[in-house]
Amino acid sequence: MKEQCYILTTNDLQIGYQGKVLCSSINVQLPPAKMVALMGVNGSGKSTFMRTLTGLSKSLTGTVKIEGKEIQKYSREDLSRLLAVVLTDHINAPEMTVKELVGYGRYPHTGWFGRLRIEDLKIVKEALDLVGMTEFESRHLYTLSDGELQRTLIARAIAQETKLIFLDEPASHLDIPNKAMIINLLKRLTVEKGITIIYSSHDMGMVKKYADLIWLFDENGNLQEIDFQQGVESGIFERTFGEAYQES
Amino acid sequence: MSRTKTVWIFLALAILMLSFFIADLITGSAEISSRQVLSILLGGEGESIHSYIIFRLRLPRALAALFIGAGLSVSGVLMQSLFRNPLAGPYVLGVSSGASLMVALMLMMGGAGLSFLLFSGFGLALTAIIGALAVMFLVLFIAIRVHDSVSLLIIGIMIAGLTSSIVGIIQYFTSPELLQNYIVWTFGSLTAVEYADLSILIPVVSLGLIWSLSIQKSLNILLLGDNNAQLLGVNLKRIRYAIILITGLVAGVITAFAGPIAFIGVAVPHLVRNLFKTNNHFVVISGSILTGASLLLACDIISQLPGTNISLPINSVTSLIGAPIIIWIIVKNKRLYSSNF
Repeated sequence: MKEQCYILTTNDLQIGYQGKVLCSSINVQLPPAKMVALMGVNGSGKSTFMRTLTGLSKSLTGTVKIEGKEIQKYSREDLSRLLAVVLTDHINAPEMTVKELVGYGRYPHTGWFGRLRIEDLKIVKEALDLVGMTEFESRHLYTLSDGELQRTLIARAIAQETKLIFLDEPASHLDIPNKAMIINLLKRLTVEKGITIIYSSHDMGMVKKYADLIWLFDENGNLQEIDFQQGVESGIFERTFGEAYQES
Repeated sequence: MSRTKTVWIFLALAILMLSFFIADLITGSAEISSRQVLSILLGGEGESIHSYIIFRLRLPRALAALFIGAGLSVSGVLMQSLFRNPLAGPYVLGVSSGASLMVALMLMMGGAGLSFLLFSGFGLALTAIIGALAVMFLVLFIAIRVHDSVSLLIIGIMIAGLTSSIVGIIQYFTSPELLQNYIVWTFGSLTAVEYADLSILIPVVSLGLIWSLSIQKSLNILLLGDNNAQLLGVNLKRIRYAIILITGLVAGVITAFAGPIAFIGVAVPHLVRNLFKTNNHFVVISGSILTGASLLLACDIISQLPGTNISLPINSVTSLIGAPIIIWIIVKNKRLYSSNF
């Protein structure tokens, strides 16, 4: 398979920050329309890996390629039309409404003035429908619960209409029904729209049910690409997570 | 807020600004009616004494108020967006102090051998812009490392304190005549602004306002935080430099010609966000231009103390009006200001 056919590849990637190496020799080749769960104990490098894959942090060595092109060779504008990211960052704009925030997902597709066209508004509406936030569209952000805000942020990423969506613990603020709804929705995006989803998670049950692939930072700090069955049979989950894995 | 309501508020603000502009031309120790003012502006009174007063004294002052009010307010909007700090403004974060320090050096030390610049408006503007830009870069350098708003604010106040102490040392060693020039300048004054100064001030401020409107899309995305802004296509470095250059140029040139004018830059953006109930920068910047100009024109009218021959320093009036506005807005919206702006 040619490199251009993969949505995301890394070559001898080394990640870390301020000179501290978190993980080396990361080589992955990800075909499109997959749902990838990023797993590992706290501090293993999940967030740094995600920041490196999205171009927010520089790799220590090695390369990240999206559709066969090195990430540094894309402008931020071009990159924003290829990948969307749902972060856990605090948004400091309480007067902003749900609809406005989701509308920001359309900004990479708008002109100089940033004005949303009728088709943009239609896409925003569809994204709100998908996450079940339509009735909240006029609400100000400061009135939302953590879960509602999380669903709004996911709607914004959907509205961005990219081939790749990264999510940093997307279900962490959600109750059980909403968690199932969101993960199910993300799975539908991969199947129906061919979007590749990479999300970090600690929820074994959800990972087992929905993830096509698992990228696991193991007990030695190496990144392993496995599916759930391999993880159980090889004993790597147990070695990485210890007793907590058995309890979950 | 509906688009119709937004348009009506803009229209009302434009009428308010125009009314204050005319009122500012009418206000002064010599009594000139509104009809006479209009007739003089349309060239109906030839070279009368009233025509002299309007064209030589009051029109430059009113034009200065218009552009300075608009320029300081938009600088405040940009700084509050860049630092994500509700109390950021050219005066609070020491930008005006940086400009003041350079002006103090020019006025009291004869420009350290650059006396050819001392008596030109261009020289004064240039040095003030350098001072303002230097402080903006310094504050930004610190802001990248110190993320919380309160610490940044304290650092801004410390920078202002530092520049003030250097100015104090210069004051101590300077002659009484030069010291007096500087003290009068610090009161802030629109009456000292002449057409020659306006020929620099108006183009620089206009450039700043147009440039600000041209980056409104990126400023809107910046509301989501640096990481989200980058991920939505904003070139952070470019937008930061643009904001620093605009505020340095605008706040610097204004401080050079009118002295350090307090509170307009901080108060007006809050007033506008409250009025329009939005964070959209096209609306906030455009609204701040009209509101800032109106507010400084109103302050100038009050500073003339209509009916008397006395006039107050403009800085005292802007502080008297601006400070209560900020307190009122914060108290009114305490829920919003408890953790955000």
